[in-house]
Amino acid sequence: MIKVSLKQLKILIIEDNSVMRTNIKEMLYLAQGKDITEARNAEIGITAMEQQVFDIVLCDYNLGMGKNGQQLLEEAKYRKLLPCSSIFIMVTAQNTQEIVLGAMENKPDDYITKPFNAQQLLGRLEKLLVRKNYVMNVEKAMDAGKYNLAIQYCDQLLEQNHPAMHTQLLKTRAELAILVGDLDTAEQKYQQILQHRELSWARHGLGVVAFSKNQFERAIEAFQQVIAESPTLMESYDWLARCYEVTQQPELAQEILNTAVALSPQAILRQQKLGALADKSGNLEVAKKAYRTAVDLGKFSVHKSSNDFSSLAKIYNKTNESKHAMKILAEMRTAFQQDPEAELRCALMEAQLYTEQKNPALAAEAIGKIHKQHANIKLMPKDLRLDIVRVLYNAGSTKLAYQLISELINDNVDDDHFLNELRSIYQDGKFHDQAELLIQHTKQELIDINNKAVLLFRQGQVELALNMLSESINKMPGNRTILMNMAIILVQDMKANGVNEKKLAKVQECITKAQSLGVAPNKINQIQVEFAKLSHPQSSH
Amino acid sequence: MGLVSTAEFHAVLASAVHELKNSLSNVNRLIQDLSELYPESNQEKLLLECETNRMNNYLSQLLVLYKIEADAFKPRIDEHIAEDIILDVLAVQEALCSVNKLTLHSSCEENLLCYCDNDLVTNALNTLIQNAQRYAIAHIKISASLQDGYIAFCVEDDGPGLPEKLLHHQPLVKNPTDLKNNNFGLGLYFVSTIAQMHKNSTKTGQLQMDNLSELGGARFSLLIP
Repeated sequence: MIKVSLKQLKILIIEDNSVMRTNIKEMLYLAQGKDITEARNAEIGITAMEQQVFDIVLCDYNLGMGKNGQQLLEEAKYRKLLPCSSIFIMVTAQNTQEIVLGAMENKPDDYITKPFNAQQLLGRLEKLLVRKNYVMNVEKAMDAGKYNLAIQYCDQLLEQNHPAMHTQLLKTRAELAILVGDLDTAEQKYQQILQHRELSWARHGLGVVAFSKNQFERAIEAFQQVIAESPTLMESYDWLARCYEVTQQPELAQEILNTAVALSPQAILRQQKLGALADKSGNLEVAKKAYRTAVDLGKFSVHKSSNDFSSLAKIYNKTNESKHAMKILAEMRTAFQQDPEAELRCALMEAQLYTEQKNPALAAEAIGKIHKQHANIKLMPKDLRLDIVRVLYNAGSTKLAYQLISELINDNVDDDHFLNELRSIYQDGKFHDQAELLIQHTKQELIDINNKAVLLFRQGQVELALNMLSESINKMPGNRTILMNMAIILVQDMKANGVNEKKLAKVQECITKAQSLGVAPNKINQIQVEFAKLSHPQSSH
Repeated sequence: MGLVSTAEFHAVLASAVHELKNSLSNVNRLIQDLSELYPESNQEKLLLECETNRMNNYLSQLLVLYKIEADAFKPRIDEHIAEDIILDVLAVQEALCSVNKLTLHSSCEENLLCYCDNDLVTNALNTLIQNAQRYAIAHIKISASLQDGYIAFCVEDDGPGLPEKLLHHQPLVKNPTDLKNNNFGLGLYFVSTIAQMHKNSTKTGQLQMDNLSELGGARFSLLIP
C-alpha cells in the first residue's frame, strides 16, 4: 500500500513529546525514511535548519516552552532557512479556530491534525512530493532569485496542461509576475482562474494587483469580497487595511485589523501595525492592547522589536500612567541587553518622562545617554531619528538636533509629508528659519543635480551623468529621487547602447535600495519590467 | 434553559468538547504506551483505537456543527483532487474496517477536480463509512465520479439496505430537535449539513440515499457542486 519512498530525503521532526517523536519516526521508517534529525524544541530545530537544508520538516504547533510552531515557521521563512522546494507540515493537536488560523498564518505546505496514523502521514507526504517534484525547476529557480528563468519553466509546464497541476501553476505564474512587476500578466492569470471558479485566493490576488496599480477602489472591493466569503483568509485583512491607509481612512484600517486580531491574535506584525494605527488615531486603549500583545509575542518572535516596548511606554505616558511606562522600560532593558537601539529608545523615553516630571538631573542624564548612543547605530529607522530630534530640541540640545535635522533633510527633501512632520517639531523662530533655508537649499541642489544629469544624458555624455549621480548618492545616501533617476538612466543607456553586466548589477542595487527606502511599488515596477527585458530578453513574451 | 442561557450553554458545550478531544488524544497516547508493554494484545489495541477514533469523529462533528451555529462559519473552498480525499479517508478507515472483518473497496476517476473544503468533506466521508460499518456484512465501497456537474462521493455497503420509509425522507433537518424523532442520527444530519454548505452559482450540495448499491445494500451519495 505504501508507494512513497523517503530514501535520500533529509527529514527534520520538531516535537517536544518524545513518544510522539518516536512514533512519527517509526511511521517514516515504513517508507525508508532514514535520514532523520530530531529536535525537542524550536531552538534546536532552528539550529538544525541553519546547519543543513531539509527536504521535509514535520513540526508540532505546540512545542512547550519557547517558540511555537508558527513562530518557528515565521523565523525560518524570514531568515530564508526553508527554500520553496522544501515541504513544511504543521502538526496540530487541537483544531480550535485560533490555533488553526495561527498555524496557517505563515503558510505551511500542509497541516495534519493529531491523532494520525502512518498511512495518513505518508499519503500526505506522497501527494506533496509529487507536486514539488513536478514544479522542481520552477521552485529551484525561485530559490536562486532567478525569477525570469522560473517564469520560463512555469510557462513550459503550463503548456502541458496537466489537469491536476494547472490551477496551482497559474497561481505560481501570477505570483512570479507580481515579483517581476509584470502586473498585467498577473491580473490575466488570476482572471483565468476565476473564470473557471470563484476561489478566494485568486480574488485576493486580483486585489493585490489592483493595489500595486494604485487602483485602490478596485482593490478594496476585491478584499471585501474575499473577507465576506472566506473570513479566515487573514492576509486579505492586512491588505484591506493597507488600502484604507493609503486612501486616508485610518479608522477603517484600524477597525479591520481589530477584527483580524480577534480572529487570529498570534501574528505579531499585524499587532504592531494595529498598535501604530490606533496610536495615530488616538484610540489609546486599542493601541495599548495591541502593543502589549506584540511585546508578549515578541519574546519568541524573529520580529521582536524595541520599538514595541517604547511605543507601549509612550502610550502609558499619554494616558497618565507614567509608572507603567517606567515598568515597560525596565522590561525592555531586560529583553534587550547590549542593544544600542533599545538603549537609545529607553533614553529618549526617560528624557521625556523626567522632563515632564520636572526632574532636571535625571533628564540631563538621559540626554547624555542619547548623545552617547546615537552615534553607535547605523541605518536608524526614520521615525527613530525624528524622535531623537524632537527630544533633543525640546531639551535644548539644539546643536546636535540641528546636525541630525540636516541629515534628515538631505535624505528626505523630496518627501513633503515627512518635512511637515519635521516642521511640527520646532516652533522657535531662529531655528525654524535656519532649517527652512537648509530645506530650500537642498531642494534646489537636488533639482540642479537632476537637471544636469538629464542634460548630460541627452547630450550623450552618459558616463558623466552617471558619475554625477553616483557622487550625489554618496552625499545623500537615502535620497530616493536620485536613486530612481540613476536606475532610469542606466536602463535607457543599456536599451540604446547594449547590455552590460556591471550596469545591470547597479540597476538591481538601485531597485533593492529603493524598495528598502519605501519607494512606491508602481514606480519600481516600471523599472523592474524594463530590467527584466534587458536581463532575460528571450523570456519577454 | 434554567440558570444558563442557550448561548452560554453552547459555549460550555463547545469547551467541554475541546476538553474531551484533548483527553482522547491522551488516551490514544496511553494506548500506544500500553501496546508497547503488552505486544501480545494487538487485537484489543486495534479495537480500542477503533472506538477512540469513533469518539473523536463524533466530537469533531459536534464542534463543526457548533461552529456553524455559533459564528457565521464558512467552508474554506479550494481546488482538491477527489482521489487525494479518498486516499485520506482510506488511510483512516482501512485499519478500522479490517478490525471489523470488513473489506473496504475504492474507485476514483483520475484527476477529478473537486472544489470543496477538504477537511469537511473528509470528515463527512469518514462518518458515512462508520455508519456503513454498522450495517455491512462483508464489503463497503467508497468511490468518486462526475455526475451531472456534481462530484459524487458514494459510500455503499452489502447490508440489508435502507427501510422503505427512510428512502423518501431526506435528513435535511433544519431543526436539530428533529434528530430525536428521525432515524438518521447525528451523523447523517452532519453530512447533510456539510453538503449544503457547498454551493456553486445555483447548485447546492446534497446527500442522497437509496438502495441502488452495486453491492446490494444502501448507498449514500454526497454530491458536491
